[in-house]
Amino acid sequence: MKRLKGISFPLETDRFASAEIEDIPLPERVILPLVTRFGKMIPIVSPGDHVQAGQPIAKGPQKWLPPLIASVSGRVSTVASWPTASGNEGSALLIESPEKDTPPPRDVVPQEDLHEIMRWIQAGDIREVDPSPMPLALRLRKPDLIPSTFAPFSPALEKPIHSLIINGIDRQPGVWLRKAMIRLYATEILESIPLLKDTTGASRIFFAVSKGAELANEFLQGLRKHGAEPVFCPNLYPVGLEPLLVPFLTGQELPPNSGGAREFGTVVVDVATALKVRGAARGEIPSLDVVVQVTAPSSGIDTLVRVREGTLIEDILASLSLSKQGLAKVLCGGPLLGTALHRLDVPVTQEIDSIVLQTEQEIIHYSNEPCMNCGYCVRHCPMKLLPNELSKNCEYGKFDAAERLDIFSCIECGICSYVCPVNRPMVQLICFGKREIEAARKVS
Amino acid sequence: MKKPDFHVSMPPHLHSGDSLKKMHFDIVLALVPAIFGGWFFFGWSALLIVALSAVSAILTEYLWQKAIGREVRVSDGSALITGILLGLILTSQNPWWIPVLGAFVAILVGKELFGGLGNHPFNSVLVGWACLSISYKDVLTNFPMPSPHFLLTPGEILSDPALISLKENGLDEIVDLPWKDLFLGNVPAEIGTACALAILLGGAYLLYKRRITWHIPFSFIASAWVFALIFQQIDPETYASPTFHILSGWMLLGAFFLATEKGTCPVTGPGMILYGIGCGVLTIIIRTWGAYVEGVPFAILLMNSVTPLLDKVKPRTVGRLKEIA
Repeated sequence: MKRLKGISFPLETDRFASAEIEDIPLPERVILPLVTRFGKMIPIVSPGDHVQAGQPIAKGPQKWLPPLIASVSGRVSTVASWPTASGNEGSALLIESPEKDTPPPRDVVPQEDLHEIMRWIQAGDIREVDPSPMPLALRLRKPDLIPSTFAPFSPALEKPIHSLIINGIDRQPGVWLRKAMIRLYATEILESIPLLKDTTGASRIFFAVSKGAELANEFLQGLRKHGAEPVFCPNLYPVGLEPLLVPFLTGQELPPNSGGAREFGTVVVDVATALKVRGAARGEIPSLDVVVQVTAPSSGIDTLVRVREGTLIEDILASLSLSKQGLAKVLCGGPLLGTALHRLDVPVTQEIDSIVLQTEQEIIHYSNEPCMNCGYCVRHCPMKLLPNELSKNCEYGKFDAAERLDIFSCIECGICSYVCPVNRPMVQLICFGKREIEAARKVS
Repeated sequence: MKKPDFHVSMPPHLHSGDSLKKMHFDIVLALVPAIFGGWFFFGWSALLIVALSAVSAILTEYLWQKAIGREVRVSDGSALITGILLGLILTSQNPWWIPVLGAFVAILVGKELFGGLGNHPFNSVLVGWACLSISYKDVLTNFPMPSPHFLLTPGEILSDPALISLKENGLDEIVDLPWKDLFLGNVPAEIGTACALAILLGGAYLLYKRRITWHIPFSFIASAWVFALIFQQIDPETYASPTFHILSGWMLLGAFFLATEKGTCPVTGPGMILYGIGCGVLTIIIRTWGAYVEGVPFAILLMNSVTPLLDKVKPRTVGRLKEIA
C-alpha cells in the first residue's frame, strides 16, 4: 500500500515517556464474565466452591478455545447476569472477598518443546484487545503445531505463516498504553520475540511503532539481534489496526469478512499480548492482571493502572478518587472505538485497554443535517470507501446500493464521523446499514 | 426501568471540532486578498458591489428559509461566500441592482430551490452570474480602467479586458501587454479576477488549511495550459500563449474558488482530476472558438453536470479483490 490515509494526532510523548503503572488494591468482589468474543463459556465451578487464583473456572464450547482462569482466590458466590463492557448483560461468576494470591510458578517449565509451549499459552487464557477473528492460541501456531484434536477449525490455519508483526502502535488517538509498555517492559518484549518466531515459524518479523516514539538503542539492537525489523509507521489513526497495519507492512490487503491476517500468512500480536505470551511460556499465569489506561481530561487524570481481571470500573475510579460528580459519559475501550457504558459496575477484562471519562462539555452531539458533499470523509477514509454515499444510502434505506459500494469493507474506525463538518453520524449510519443487511440475509 | 446513569451512544466519541462555520470562515479569509485587489485597482465602488452582493445573498437566504419554515442557517456562512464570490466576478461600474439581482438568483435558483447547501447540482454563484450575463450582457461588459491607489501607475495598454481584446482584435492587441500587469491585475477586469497574485495567495491559504485539495486547481490549470500550448505550437500567429490564458480572465479564480464549491464538484481523487481536466480543456475551447469571451463559467457549469458521473470513478477499496473491481 503506497499511501496511508487517516487522521494525525499528537503523540503525547510527555505522557508515555514517564508514566508508571499504579497498582490498585483488590476490591470487595470480583466479577468474571463468562461471555467472551468467541462465545459463551461453560462454568466448571459452582457457587460455594473455593477457587484459587490461576485455576480454570470455565471451558469453551469448542476444544480449541482456551479456558477461563480465576484471577483471584476466593469463594464463588453465584453465577448471575451482570453488565458487560459491550453494554449488554451476560452471565458472570461473582467471587466474594477475594484474595490477591499469585499462584506459585509451575514445577515444570516448558523448554524446547514447541507443542508444550503452545499448550501453556493455550492454558494461559490470554485474550486480546484487538478483535481478531481467531483466538491467539490458535493464531500463533504454525501448521505443524496444530493438534488434530482441534478439528474442525478454519482451513486458514493450514497456511504457513510468513510474517509476524509485533504491534507497538496504539489503537487510537489519546491511548498510549502500548508505547508505555515498550518503555517499561523492553527486555521482556525482546525475550518474547524468539518465542513468537518459533511458534509461528515466520521468516519476517516486523516491530511496528509510531514515528516519533523513541526506541532506546539497546532495544533497537536487541530487535535486530532477534531478526526483527523495526518499522516506524506514520502517526496516523488507524494504522495500528490490523486491516491497515498488515497491508502497510506486507502489502497484503485483507478482504472484508476474511479470517483476519492469519488467513494470508501474517500474524499480528500487540506488545501487551507478546508480554503475556512470554509469561505463559515461562510457566506463569499471564492473565491475572489487566493494565488499563484511565483518562479523565476534566480532572487531569491520564494514568496507567494494574488491576486484577474482574475489578469493577467503579472500584478503579474510587481508588483513583475520581468522583462520579459531573461524569456524563464513560467510554470503555477508547475515545474512537470504545463503547459508552450506562453504568459503572462493569468488570474490566483483558479486552479493555482504556477507560475514558467525559463530562457534559466534552460530549459530541451529532446532527441530522443533510450531507453537503464536502468530501472530507472520502479524503480521510483509510479503506478508500465513499462514506458520504454510504451514509446517504443507509439513511434512505438503499441498502443494496450501499452493498455495491463495499459497505462491508468498512472497518468502523469512525474517521468519517470525526472529520464531518456538519456532524453527521456517518459511521453510525454505516453500522446501521450493515446490521440491516445482515438481518435481511438471515431472513432470506 | 432504571434510567441510565450516563449518556449512551455509538463510537466515535470524539470530533475534530470542525464545522461549516469554520470552513466558510477560512474561505472568506482566503477571499480577502482578492477583495483587497479589487479595492486597490478599482476603488471603493468595487467594495460596494461586493458588499451589496453579500448582503443581498444573506438576506435572500434568510427570507427564503423563514418563508418556507425551515431552520434559518444563514450563520453557517455559505450565503456570505456565494455573495462575495458573485461580487468578485462583477465589475465595479455595474449599477447597484446587478449584484442584488444576481445574488438573489444565485441563492434562490442556484441553491435553495434544490434543497439548500450541498444539494444544488450547479455552482450557485455561476447560476446567478449566468442569469445576469444572458439578461444584461451590455451592462456586465462595462469595464473600468484600473487606477491603482499607490505604487503602480495605471495600466493603459488595453482599454478592454485582455480576453475581450484577444477575441475582438486578435493576437496583436495583447502581445505588448507586460506579464507584470496581467499578474498584478493592472488591466481592465472584474473586481476579483484582475489580480492573479491575490487569488494565488488565497488559493495557497485554502490548500494550506486543507479546505481544498490540489486535484481540481492543479488539473484545471495544468490541462488548460497544456491544451493552449498545443495550439500555440501549431500556429503561434493565431493562438495566444498558454501563460496568457492562465493569468487572464477568471482562470485562477475559477480553479481555486468556483470549481471547488463544495457539493458541486466530485469528491474522489480520480474524479476530481478528470473534472479539472474537463474544466481546463473546455475553458480553452470556449475561449478560442466559442461565442463567449470567457470560457471558465460555462466550462465549470458543464462539468458540474457530469459531477455525479465522475463521482463513480472511485479508487479501489482496500481489500477488494482486483478481478472484481
